[in-house]
Amino acid sequence: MATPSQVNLWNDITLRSTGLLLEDILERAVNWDERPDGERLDMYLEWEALVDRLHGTIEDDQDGQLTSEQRQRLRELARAIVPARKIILRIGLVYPDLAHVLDDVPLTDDERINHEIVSLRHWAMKLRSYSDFWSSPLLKKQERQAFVLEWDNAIDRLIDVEQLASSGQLGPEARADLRQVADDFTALLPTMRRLNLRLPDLDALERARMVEAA
Amino acid sequence: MRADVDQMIVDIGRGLRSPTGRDLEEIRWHVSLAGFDPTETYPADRRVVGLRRANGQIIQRGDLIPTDEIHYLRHVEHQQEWPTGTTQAQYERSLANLAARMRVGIVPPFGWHIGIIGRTGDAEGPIGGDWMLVEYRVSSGHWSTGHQRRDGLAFANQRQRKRWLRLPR
Repeated sequence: MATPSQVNLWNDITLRSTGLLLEDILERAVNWDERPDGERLDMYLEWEALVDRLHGTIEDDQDGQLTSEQRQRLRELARAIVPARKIILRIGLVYPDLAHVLDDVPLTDDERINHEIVSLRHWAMKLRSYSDFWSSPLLKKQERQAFVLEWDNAIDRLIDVEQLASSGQLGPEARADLRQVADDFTALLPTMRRLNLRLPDLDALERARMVEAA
Repeated sequence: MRADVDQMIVDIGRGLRSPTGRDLEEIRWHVSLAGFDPTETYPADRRVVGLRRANGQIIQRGDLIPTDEIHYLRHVEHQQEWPTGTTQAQYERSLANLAARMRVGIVPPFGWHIGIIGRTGDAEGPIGGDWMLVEYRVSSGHWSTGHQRRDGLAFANQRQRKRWLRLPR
């Protein structure tokens, strides 16, 4: 188990490395398609690993484990990642779930909805992954309990986004993303039932799956 | 034969084959022996710029670095995931040893990749993680990455992976 000082150092490195690699990615994105396949794959894997570390840092922030300096650096990093979102997605890299950190980042309404959908996709993947470990000693009881609470929150947010779609407030890109997320959640309904997790409103979920393409 | 195991990995990824215990053992050994591609180089990224190579050279922007060395520099030298003083040979040996261990988790193939995850143990550095990953790419026949993670379970979160072939213990 990591000591507080190790957690501190891990998060320091995570914030620094993610910022550095983001700069590399934005620089190479200019001629991404011309770069060798091996190099692009290498960037993909390294960014994916750092995004995973960043998710851990964001969780530590939520738990109050970051120093005030790290909290500030995390928010500065989020402010750098948000405007890079389209580039990151265009070149096929993963985009992080910046979660509550975005509360401190100025966003347009469209950006906030896009990030909300990113977060929902992240939660669908997390459920898919955790379901394999649900009964395993590798998943601690506290982690399981925390996941259940966070899952409830994710369900509420899915319904909120569907309501925005129903009232015509989503652009074409967000509607397409919402349909995909709704498909993911629909495929996970048996898993939710098996793990006794809260189900989304099924009518709202079906509406999200069918939200108009244009 | 290596080509047979590569085909096995692809077939498992496509859902054409359910792996047996023997299959998973073959995959572990196959990955363990693969190593990084000795012919591949990547441009130095900002994390390794300014670090000193084994030949004494200071890395500059744009330098082409062999893949085994660049992964070592990123994860051992810059991010200190392995113990201080770990050599490149020791880093690579730890990845090979990881894949060969019996209590590792095997993450199902995604595209042309298969991942092996296990406890870091003695290979954990001052800023390392509890878990170590080595990922193998079928199309090159070599490792594509090797690094440490705090959360071994979360690795399968991304890339819409199917269920684990075997969970770590």
